[in-house]
Amino acid sequence: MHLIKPGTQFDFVGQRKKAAVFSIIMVIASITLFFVKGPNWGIDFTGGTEVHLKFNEAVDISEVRSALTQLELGNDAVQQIGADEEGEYVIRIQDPEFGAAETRSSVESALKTKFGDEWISETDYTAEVGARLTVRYIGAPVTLDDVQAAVDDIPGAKAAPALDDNVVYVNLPGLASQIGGKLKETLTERNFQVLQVDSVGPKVGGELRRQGFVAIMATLALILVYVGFRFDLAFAPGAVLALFHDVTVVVGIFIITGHEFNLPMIGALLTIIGYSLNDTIVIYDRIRENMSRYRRKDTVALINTSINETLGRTLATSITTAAAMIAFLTLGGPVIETFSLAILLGVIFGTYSTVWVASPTILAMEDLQPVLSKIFTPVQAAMDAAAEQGPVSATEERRQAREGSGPEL
Amino acid sequence: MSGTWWTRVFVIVVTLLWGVWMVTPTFVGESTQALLEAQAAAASGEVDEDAEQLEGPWWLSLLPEGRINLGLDLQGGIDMTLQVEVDEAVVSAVHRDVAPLKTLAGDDGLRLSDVRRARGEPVLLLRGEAEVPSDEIRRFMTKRFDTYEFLETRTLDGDEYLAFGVLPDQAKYIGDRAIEQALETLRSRIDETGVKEPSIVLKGGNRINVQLPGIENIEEAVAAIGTTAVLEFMLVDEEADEVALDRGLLDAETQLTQEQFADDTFLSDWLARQGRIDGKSRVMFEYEDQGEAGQVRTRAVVVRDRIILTGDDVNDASVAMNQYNEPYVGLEFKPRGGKVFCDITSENVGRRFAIVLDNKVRSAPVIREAICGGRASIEMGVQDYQQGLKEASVLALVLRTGALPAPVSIGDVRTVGASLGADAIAAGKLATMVGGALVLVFMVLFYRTAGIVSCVALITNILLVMSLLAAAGATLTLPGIAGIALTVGMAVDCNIIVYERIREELRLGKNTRSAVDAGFSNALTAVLDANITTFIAGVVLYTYGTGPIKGFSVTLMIGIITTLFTGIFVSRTMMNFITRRASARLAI
Repeated sequence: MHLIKPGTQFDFVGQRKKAAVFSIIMVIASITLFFVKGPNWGIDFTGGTEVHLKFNEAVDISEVRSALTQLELGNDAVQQIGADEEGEYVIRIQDPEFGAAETRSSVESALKTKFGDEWISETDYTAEVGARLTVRYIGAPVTLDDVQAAVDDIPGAKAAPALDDNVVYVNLPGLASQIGGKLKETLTERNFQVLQVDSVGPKVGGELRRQGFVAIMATLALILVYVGFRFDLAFAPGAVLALFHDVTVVVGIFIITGHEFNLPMIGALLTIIGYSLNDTIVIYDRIRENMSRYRRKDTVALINTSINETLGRTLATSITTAAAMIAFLTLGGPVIETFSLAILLGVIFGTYSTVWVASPTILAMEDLQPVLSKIFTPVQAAMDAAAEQGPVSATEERRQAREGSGPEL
Repeated sequence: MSGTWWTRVFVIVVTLLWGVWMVTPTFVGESTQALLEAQAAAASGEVDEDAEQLEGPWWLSLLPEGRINLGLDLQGGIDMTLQVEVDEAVVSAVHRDVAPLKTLAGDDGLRLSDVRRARGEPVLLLRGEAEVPSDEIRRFMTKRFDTYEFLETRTLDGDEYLAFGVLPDQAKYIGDRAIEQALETLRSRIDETGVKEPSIVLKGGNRINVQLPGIENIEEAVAAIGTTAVLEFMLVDEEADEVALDRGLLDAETQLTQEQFADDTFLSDWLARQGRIDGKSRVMFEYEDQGEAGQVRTRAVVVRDRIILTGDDVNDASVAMNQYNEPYVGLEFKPRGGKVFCDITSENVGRRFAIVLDNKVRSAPVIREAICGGRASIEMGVQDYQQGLKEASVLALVLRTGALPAPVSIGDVRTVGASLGADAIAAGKLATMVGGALVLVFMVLFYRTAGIVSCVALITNILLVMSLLAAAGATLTLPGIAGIALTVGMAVDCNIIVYERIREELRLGKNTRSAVDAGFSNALTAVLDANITTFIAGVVLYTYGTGPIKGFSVTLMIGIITTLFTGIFVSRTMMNFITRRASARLAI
């Protein structure tokens, strides 16, 4: 079955100005969204605690929300996973010190009531694993039972012995049990179980974000070098620009849809880079081939021919992959939803950016060639020598051909 | 068909057989799985008597050991965060300087009447003989131990001591080294327990995250990982007054808080202050495991506060049986350790020495004669054979892999329920089947006969990815599956590029056979460049990424290799067969 009639000639490059406007708007909008709204960072990046709950029956999200209002977690903190009847929710608390002030003051006041206002000399709150308040006090040693009696009214508070003199620990329930307790209080007729609790320290999150950024930047830089080496220096910026375009736009879309930015999302973005790159290289290859075949044709026509010649492949690949991804989206369940959506978007924008970002950039680079060659002549010469080409680069010839002043070969 | 064609078929058949062979352990049933593991254990010399009783089908022994493991996100397992007690590492590093300091002082002719470690802080306390000026001691420290600074003069038991503290920079260096070493030690311990594809990651500061996929028994994991395993040999203080000690302990129990009483170091200092034991001795205890009550002190032993040998002097540790068929751990010293042990035992015949593990006395045997064979043993002291054997194996393991440079406290242990993963896997499997089927249907629809060829190539591709993952013993996580999905996409694309090219060549009027040949060779550069660029991206991600990003890049890189093999080599061989006659026609 032929998807495209042989000999089809759409004027893709002719639409490049409109496409450029569209792309620039999309990219700027995405960047603006990134800085104004910001992605819905998951705890992998921000640090914090996530509690994954499953109710035994369908429960409306507003019910969960209202039960949690007293904890003041904010509106975004509850997220539904999967279909309604699954009854699965993830509750996210990003503040590692969440609830610290309140718990701290209630414990302190309970102790003051019992031992007197001057009794406490200092307290220290940590919430690494469960929460703990270290209380240093003044005066004669007290027994644990006395301390326990003082804090008995605070749910879950347990007095614990410390090694040093005049210090006592008050262990407090961790976030997961605080949340569980609050839900049990309010939703008395509902049954639920805690499936999973995840905690990530704030420092780790920062490290991960930095690492992801470095990885993506290094990838782009190396691709720039490889494409410059294998194809032509004029080709390289287009490939990288197309990747940048795709990642930015998809991030923008994910910000709008409110998808959580977690580690799987990084995987998804990497997949997009893979797809987009693959697509760009395939068409670049055809342009390169046609450049050496039709030495006198001007670049606009050449790129158009190349895109049209590979159109059958572009459509076949896109349709096949998209079909598989739609199956993943509808059947795959919530966990791989992000992946499949990312790949679907990657296919769409990868194809778009190859035709309207990467290829026109070659034209722009050619126009810039006289300026750039002054700066990059040594680099270009080295590249050409390595590629065993003549002193005049392929694009330079194309540019000269386009201006009609090139040497007849 | 030409000779080269047959060669290619041979290569493909061999590769496929290898793939099936590699991937079989991943898919065989649970019971067979257990048999395989038992065999692997038996092969690696571990004692497992069950292994001999089990007999599997004959072909089992032919199967490889490696298989694909599912990551924690897919199968559940134990996830724990350990906190390295860096401060204690610094303190014990300082304490280790006591012996060399004495030796160097002797070499320099500096007469010190006492060198001791301060309790719970990285400080050395030095006291010179009456005629030695304190300036001389300070000069000696500046010259020989420049990582210390003079802090203050302290009075202990009525004597003046000069206190030297470790410099903050040095403390930080020791701490960093301790964390690095802890990572290494944990890694080798977990490797020896045979857990497949664990993840051991430093998580900011002094916290280490350990993931043990598929492991459910928290207690055993904690025993093997959390044991500090600091082994020390010390001489028993034979001059200690047992009666005074007993009285002192009774007093301590009533006068100290529970926590203070339970702290051996605090207790020793307190007893020394009360004059119950000598200032240069410490009291340590033997412990007994009493079920729910946990570890209970059974016998007090007063030891000389000088470490003769440590676990660092041990070359190897293994489980052995004595004449009563009781398991024990046999130690083999390094040459230097063996010599020191020989010297000490020959000087102290008739006295006792104590084997102390993590500040607990394991045994305090009497030295009957000089022990110069470079060997020693640690009795388990457990009646139950199985229990003793288990404890001996764990102890031998931790001693072999070395002590943790600092104690670790288990911060957060949690088991990730496999139930969460089960649903996800079921949904994922269904989606993969349907998605895969759709791809195959479209390929046949678009490219007819050639489409069928590409279906075979795709299935081969996935088989090879699986077998390579199994060969590498890799762990499959969700991002890893994303990598495979990308691979499949690129493999389909590889076929499509070639087929479109063949169509173009046909349109140029070539006959089927030469169009197929031209199609493959002309499409080669596009396919190669696309895959190489993506491979480069994979290498970068592997280098810079951790955890999930690494998982993604591994499957991606493996997938690219198999894609090139199946998409170019296998497909072409099949297409050549279809178009073997010059008159052949190809539905494409």
